Amino acid sequence: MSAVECPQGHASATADYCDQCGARITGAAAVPCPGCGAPGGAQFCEACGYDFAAAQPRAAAVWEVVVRADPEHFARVAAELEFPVGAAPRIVALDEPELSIGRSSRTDAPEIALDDPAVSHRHARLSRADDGSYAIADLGSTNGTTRNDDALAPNTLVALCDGDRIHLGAWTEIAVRVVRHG
Amino acid sequence: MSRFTAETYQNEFLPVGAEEVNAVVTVTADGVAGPVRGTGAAAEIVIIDTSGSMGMPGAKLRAAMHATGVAIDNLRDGVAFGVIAGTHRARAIYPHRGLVAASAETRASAKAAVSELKPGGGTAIGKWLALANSTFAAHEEAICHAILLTDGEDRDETPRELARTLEACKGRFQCDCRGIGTDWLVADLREVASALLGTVDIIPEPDALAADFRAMIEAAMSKETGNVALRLWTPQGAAVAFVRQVSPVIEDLTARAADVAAQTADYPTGAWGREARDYHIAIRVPARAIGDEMLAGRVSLVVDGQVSGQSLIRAIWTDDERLSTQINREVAHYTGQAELAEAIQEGLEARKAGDGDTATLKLGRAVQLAADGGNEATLRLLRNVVDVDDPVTGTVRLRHDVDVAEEMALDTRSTKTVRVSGRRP
Repeated sequence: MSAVECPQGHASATADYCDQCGARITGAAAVPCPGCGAPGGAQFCEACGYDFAAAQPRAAAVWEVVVRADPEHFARVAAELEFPVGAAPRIVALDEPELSIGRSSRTDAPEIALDDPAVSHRHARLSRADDGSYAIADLGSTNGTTRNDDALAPNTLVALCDGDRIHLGAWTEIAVRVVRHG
Repeated sequence: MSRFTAETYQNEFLPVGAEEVNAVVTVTADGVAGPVRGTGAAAEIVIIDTSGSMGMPGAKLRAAMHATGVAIDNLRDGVAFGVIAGTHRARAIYPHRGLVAASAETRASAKAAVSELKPGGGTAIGKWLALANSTFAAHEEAICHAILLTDGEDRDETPRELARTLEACKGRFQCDCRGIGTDWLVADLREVASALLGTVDIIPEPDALAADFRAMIEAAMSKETGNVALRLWTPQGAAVAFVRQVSPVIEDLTARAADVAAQTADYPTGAWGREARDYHIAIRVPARAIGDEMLAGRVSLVVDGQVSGQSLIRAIWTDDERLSTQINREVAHYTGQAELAEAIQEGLEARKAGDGDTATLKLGRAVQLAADGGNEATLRLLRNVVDVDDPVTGTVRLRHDVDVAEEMALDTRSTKTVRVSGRRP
């Protein structure tokens, strides 16, 4: 594993938190678009409309996710479980700076509570950046998380874009929607 | 070989200036699918006390011999096993040297040897363990486990001798200890069981011994992975306040840390079957500025130098009291469970010392905590020692007619915890 520099200047072999001082390591890799991570260049990000010149999103955007049971994901996982037939998709507005995603229990009340046995109690977290966009981090979950079919490295923030599809657990899909007004 | 997963339960938000991070980490091996017969190599030694007192009454030794037979019958074929008879010295009664593989023939021979046992002599538990240790030495690759049964005090050696033997045995094999009758000392057996990562319990009636031996052998045979260590990394400037197994029983592991690097230590947890255990970990870290996030601990499991399963203990400093004042349910529950065990042990000690006021106070607190934590079994045992006026306030009166066996049962089982209700299936 190559060393990553932490905010205190230590060379850390772990990429999530410094293996010397414990400081959280963010933005280790250069991300061209702070809004969504797509390659930048022009005045606006082509993927999400982030305004490079003004360094803020172009318009007030409402972020939400659609949570549903995805039969295709379920087929890929091939878990020996029963697919929840008839579960209605639900829309969750991202109106908090941080929303945790996890399997609901009487103890844990994640903002996005999932009734999926292969989801960890503390599975992933969505967090809002200064520009209003959201990023996701898998919190070292047991069965992992994918974004557009790519596995997320644990405890690493990955910026999200409109249309991203997050998969986790035995059947859960979380689709990202960015609705713009004005 | 087991596959380990770890999950952290904590409130990572700390108020400004706070320096202690508390978390409960649940470690699960292979998804907890119920008991299975293990597949790894195993070695088993049954150590039975044959001192003179085991013949008074004769039912004790007879029950011990019968229970040993039941244990032998429940060994998996091929498991290396042996039987040691213990007095003021230790004697390998079957086989006479080393261990043999369990088969119909060797089981029958072992039971025949056991049936010849006669009571006579003293008690030196350290000598029995030393013989078991040297016998296990030829089976280092196996998961080594012993059952130790005694009925009396460890009179024929000094506490120092026993401590030295325990030091030599640590990490070499695990040992579940049972006391039969009421003439043994809970503290003696707890010391042995704790050092050798085993359980301790009282068997007041000889009749119950066989079922208990069967259960212990079944548990030993279900172990799949030996010598598992819990590894804890902490940041520079941090100090581990404690690492405590809190479920299924309380066992403080803090003093057993073996440093593997400057900021990393391993804590021994023994052999695992398909099971889940909870650990309460407290780490002191230097306070940071509001909004700072740091990793206070990284927990993983280590088997033969291979790391598997990982969970993070975080700290985020905030001035938002709504976040920082929330006490995590698991942490609160197990803090109460640890206090419960302590209150019982201190209460019983005060009672024996004739300090009725302290005993009433401590046992009252224990009743309160047991009622609050949902420890039904412990509460039942407490009612044998105190009359409960009000479990909510912990108002109790000491009973005058206390059965010694019931008092000892309360003492030995004081460290047995329950999990947070409704958390897991």
